[in-house]
Amino acid sequence: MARKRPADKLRRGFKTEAESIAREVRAELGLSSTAPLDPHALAQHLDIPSVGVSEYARENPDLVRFFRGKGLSVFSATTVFITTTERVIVYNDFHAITRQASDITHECAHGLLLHEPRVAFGPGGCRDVDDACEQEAAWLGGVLLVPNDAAIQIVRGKTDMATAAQRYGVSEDLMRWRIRMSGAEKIMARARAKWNR
Amino acid sequence: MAQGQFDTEAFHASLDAERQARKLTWKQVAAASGVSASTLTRMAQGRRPDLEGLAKLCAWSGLSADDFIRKTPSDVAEPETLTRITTYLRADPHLDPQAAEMLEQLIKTTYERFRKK
Repeated sequence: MARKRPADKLRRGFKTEAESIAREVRAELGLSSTAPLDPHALAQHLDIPSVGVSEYARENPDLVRFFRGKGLSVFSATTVFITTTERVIVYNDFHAITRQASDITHECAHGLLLHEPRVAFGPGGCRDVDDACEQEAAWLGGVLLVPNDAAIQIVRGKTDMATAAQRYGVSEDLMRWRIRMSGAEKIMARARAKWNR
Repeated sequence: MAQGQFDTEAFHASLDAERQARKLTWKQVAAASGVSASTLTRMAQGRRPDLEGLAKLCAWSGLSADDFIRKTPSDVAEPETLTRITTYLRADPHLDPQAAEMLEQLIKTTYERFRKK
């Protein structure tokens, strides 16, 4: 199931909080505000183990066959809690690398926000998850991958979407969304209007 | 837990209780105490905070680090049962039985691989 972009219903103050977290953790990783992020490096930095579905080939080949084929659209990534607080990320590594990057970063964002588990996975299968937490993780994930400064630099340099998306290891769809959300185009338009006076 | 070891899990739980009592997000705890968000995430993953981080969190919360140093060896905790594995998994309400079964297997296999034995 394709991940939806968060509607603008985040709690008051959250975007500022997300930007602060992203700036801080990217700096800890030695990244400038315009450098691309390696989601695996982020997970490692947070001590969150991650495992791709393909790694279960030996113990459960049917599982791997399913998520590579018929079940490809069924599963992208999730966090599994192995204790009340310790999390592991499991992701579908048969998806495009850009999708994996977005998914792993999204799950790391849940970790940075310390969202609690909300779903008990018991008999009867999966149940729905807290939408507010999903929106927060989606927003923070986006800011981690393409910070506002990066979006502004892309717009200022008139970089085409394909090139920009490739540089940051994300889909063109995510890149377009981040540029829109950062307000980079409005910022640049205001700056150009000022210079042209 | 061995004697003389810092009980990070219990410390995290006590911090969480304090956080909830003060109606704060974890980010607000980080900002108020002066530790980074990633320090708190790593603590939840079982990584002991460094001395400076621990001091800051104790100063903010009023907790005493000494209370979390195990003075006698405790029994090994029973492994958690599989009846309540928790995730963030969002399910498609139209999921067919095979897909639901495969997702369940995926979660259980992951839990089994990584849980503390």
